[in-house]
Amino acid sequence: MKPIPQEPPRDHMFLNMGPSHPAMHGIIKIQLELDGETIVGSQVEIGYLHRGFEKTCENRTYTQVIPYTDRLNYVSPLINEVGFCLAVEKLFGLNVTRRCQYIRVLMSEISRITDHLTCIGASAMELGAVSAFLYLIKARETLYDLIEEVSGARVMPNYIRVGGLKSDLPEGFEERTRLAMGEVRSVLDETHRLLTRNRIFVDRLSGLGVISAEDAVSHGFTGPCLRSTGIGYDVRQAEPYLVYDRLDFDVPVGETGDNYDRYLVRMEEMKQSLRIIEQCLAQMPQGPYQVDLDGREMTPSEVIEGMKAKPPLQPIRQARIRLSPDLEGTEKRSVQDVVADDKTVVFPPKEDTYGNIEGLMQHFKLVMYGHGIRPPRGEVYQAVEGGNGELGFYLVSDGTDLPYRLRCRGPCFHLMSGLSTMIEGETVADVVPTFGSINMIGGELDR
Amino acid sequence: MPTLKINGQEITVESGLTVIQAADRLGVRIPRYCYHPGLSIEGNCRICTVEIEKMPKLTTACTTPAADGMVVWTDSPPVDKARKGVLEFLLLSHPLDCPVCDAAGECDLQNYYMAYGAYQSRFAESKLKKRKVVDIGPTVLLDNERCILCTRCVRFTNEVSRSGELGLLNRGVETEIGLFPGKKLDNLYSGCVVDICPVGALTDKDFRFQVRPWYLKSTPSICPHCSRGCNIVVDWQTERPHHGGGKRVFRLRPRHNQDVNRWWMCDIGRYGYHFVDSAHRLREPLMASEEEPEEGEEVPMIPTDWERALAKAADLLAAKPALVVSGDASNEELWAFRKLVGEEAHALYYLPPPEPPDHLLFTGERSPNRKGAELMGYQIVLGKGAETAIREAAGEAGALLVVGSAFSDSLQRAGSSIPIVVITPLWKAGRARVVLPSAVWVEKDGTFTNLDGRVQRFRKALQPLGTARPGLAIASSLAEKMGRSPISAEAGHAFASLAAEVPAFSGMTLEAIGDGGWPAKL
Amino acid sequence: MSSSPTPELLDKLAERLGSHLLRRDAFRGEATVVVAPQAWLETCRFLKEDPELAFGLLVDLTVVDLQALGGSPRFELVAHLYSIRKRHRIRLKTPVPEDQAQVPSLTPLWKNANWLEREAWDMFGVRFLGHPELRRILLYPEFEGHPLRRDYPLRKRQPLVAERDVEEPRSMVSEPVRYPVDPRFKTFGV
Repeated sequence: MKPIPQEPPRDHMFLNMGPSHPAMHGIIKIQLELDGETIVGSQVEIGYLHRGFEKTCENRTYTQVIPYTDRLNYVSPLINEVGFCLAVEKLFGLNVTRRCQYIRVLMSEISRITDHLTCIGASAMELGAVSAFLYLIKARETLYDLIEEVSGARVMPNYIRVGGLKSDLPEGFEERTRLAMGEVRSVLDETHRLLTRNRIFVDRLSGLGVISAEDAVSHGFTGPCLRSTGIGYDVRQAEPYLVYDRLDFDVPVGETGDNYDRYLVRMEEMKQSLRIIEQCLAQMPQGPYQVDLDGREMTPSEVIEGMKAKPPLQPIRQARIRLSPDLEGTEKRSVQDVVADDKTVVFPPKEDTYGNIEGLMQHFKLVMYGHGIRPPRGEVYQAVEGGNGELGFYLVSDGTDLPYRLRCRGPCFHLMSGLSTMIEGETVADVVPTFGSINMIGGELDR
Repeated sequence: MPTLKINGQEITVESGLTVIQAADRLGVRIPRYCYHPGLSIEGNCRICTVEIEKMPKLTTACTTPAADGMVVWTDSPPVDKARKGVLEFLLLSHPLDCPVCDAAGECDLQNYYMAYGAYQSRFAESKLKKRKVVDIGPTVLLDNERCILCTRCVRFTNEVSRSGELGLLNRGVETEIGLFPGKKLDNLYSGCVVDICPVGALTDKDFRFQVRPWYLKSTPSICPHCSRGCNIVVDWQTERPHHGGGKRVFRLRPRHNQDVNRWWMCDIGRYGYHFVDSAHRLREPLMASEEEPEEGEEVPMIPTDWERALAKAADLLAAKPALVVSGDASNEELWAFRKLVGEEAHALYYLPPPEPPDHLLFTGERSPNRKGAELMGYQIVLGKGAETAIREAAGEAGALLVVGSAFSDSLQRAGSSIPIVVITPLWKAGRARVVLPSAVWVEKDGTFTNLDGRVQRFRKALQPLGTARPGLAIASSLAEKMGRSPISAEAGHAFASLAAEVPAFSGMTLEAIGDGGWPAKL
Repeated sequence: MSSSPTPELLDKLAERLGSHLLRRDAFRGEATVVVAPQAWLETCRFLKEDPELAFGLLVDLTVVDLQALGGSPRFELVAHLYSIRKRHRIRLKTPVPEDQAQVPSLTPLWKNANWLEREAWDMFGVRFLGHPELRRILLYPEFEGHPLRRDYPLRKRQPLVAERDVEEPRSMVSEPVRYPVDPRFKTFGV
């Protein structure tokens, strides 16, 4: 977009939308040049949420980077974590267990649904359909409950690890997931009834915010925005990662590339995500849980002293450890099926850390500054399908425990570069649904 | 000259070398616990096991002489299995001490387990309990549970320090390292056993619980406490002042130099770093108050800024100055100060009276650069003789420039007939007109000349405390203020000028000296 | 699974580049091609327009500062390209020296190159010749330095910025205005 440096006509008005604006998701400034209500020129200014993610990650170990990746696309955090951990595992050439792959897919799809729910909910609210927003947010809460069960936090889970996961799924998770899926399904049906053939909604969205397929590709669009123009590129099908090649799902593709198509694509994607989740739950290999001989639990210090006692207190190898609440999930039965086999990458279960010297040394060396996870020298690019498109991590490693260069290719950056094309020629009021349908997330855009 | 192949790479070595030494030459790292190049060979740890073709069993690389035509494999599956087995045995009774053990971060059990072990532990029994935190001497603590009985310390006390305090007691699983009756580990090299212990069984009392080694940064340097000039490494950190009570230098370790100190250093040098962060470090210049003191009271010294202090010092030294240097003055500083006061002035180099040298490293001369001072034409004065010399010099001079921290009360009285300018890192009280804070040896770049004439380089690790400046920079500023020919404040240029003028140093440059030192030309 | 173009296609590219091809790498199923800076624009054009290669999507354009690894030249411009039709990826790199940190801009080929190159300029200080408006994108205009360079300290403080004067806005019209043709607006006659 090239501003022509000339005096604007006297009847053009300049208006700033943002950076602080009720309808701007995240923070962004759109400078508009208006002729009456029509936008004749626009310029998008970003960078208000730039937090120096890439520079920070050059000074953190690989495990310490994971909470930072949560905060990129903060409405679908698990997808970011999966992308980053897959990149590091690619550097290592490491394969995670089958169960771990299924759980990662499951969590990614749950995050994708939360992303789309938020997008459509916020879009609807800005057009005045507040009830739709509340229904969708209520559905999102059920998903947040699931994520909280698994990782302890609703929005910033910090659940995926290099080589596996923080811990296995809790007991009864499948049952609760099915209930949540039912809830989401009924809310989606309700939303369809409220919005999809709603006269006002259709009028405000269709035919506006149009972008052609060539322009979309030229701008680097990926994800629902690209698929709404008719190009069916989805990373999960084009370059399947984890277990997506074993799952059966469709990729919805639109036709005209307007706001309404993007809305429909997102609604249908959520249905497909629900389908994927059901298949995951059905196909996930069940791991055997460790059988305890005695029932008695021991604190870690008892285990250590028990090792030294003559005669020993009880068979130490099978002892159940009673951990403090913030360490729950790190026992052997919680991690043995979901972490890879490589001792130089994954943390040992707490029975080993407190129970034998080898586990203690392994844990110690992985945590110590300057040691820890050290991938071989090299560079990789790993793409996953984020809520907004192809989320890529370009990772350059120099063999030490800190990444040399971590570049996050956020899909929103490219979507926003095309925003000017989409809104020029429309009225000011049309910026709101157009911008909402792109689902710009500030964390991913500015990093 | 046998030629052998290790991991597919060929190397020819002189005869008499063992396989492990040949592998080190090639850059192939074979793990070792009991083998140490400076001690006799034992072969009791078995972790340096390698596979040599045509030999019926796996052999230890440290005991097998390298022979012509040998084909050695250090990472084949049988070797891997053997190493895992050795590690498993060694770790059977090893206590879970990593969180409280000083060696964590530098422990060969940790390093080799992650690199070569990484097996799942099968140990479900109870571990053996032995004595922990055994006080075996003024500097070292012993922890028998952590000991893997490599006997490096026993061989060290027998062969290197020749004091024979440590030995193996009991037998079987109860074997432990201990002191012979009536002995304590108090020889001059007691700290070296901590360096060579591959695990945390022998730990340094001085370093105990101060900081974690991975927070430390290392800088090569030279020990400034005697004229041997042992090559050392200074371990320091400034980012975490809450560790170690705010000190910056945490320990000194020896650096390998086959020609000077090999792998060892004495305790005088090892524990002689506490003055770097002591409370007596001078942080800003002092000037004597112009007012007349009360009856019987000392003249108060008032803190001031560098501009005024330098101006006053230049003023005082304009009259014919005499020079007394002591302490850790580098070659560059000796030359710079000599130039500052002029060739005709008295230049004295003071050292405490010498002690008898020992059989290994300690030379008895408590100054790192006596040879350098000699080569630059200083008059060496020792102990009591110093007072006479200073009095004589003071009689003929108009001002006294004292560089270094050995400026004791008696010396002050000897020189007090003329105004005194002191350049020192440590200051308690005294009769001087101007006191300028200087940096200690870890805070500046420079070289020392050891007693054999070997010029060795030490590197700057820390920034000077407060507003202190390296002696060379002070000489440079004074030269400017006094209108003398300019002296460079940068060590490289100063050394180049020094090498051009003093014949014993001709042809040397700071880069060429590097970290290995320039052998003596005498 | 590998996303690299087939070896025949890579050989075709190598043949076309001739001496401008500096290096070819393959690591973990990914293809990397390093070209000389003079051939940057031409290589990208060939990769985009050749029907067998068909790299129509500029996925990412960024810079890696090799100063801490002792690399020379200092910068490495890295572009990731993807072909939606052929489903293959390629990583294209070119070395950029520090004293002459300029490369031709890719804006004639892809529209998102505009913003990506502005970010590369913002973060690293690499210039793009032919870029219509090379100014900072993520940081404010008064920012001093290029923060993702390795010698930029992590915790450097920037000077406070004085309050800006309000400037007269410049026109942002980029093409002839197309007024909405929606018949609904015809009822609001002016």
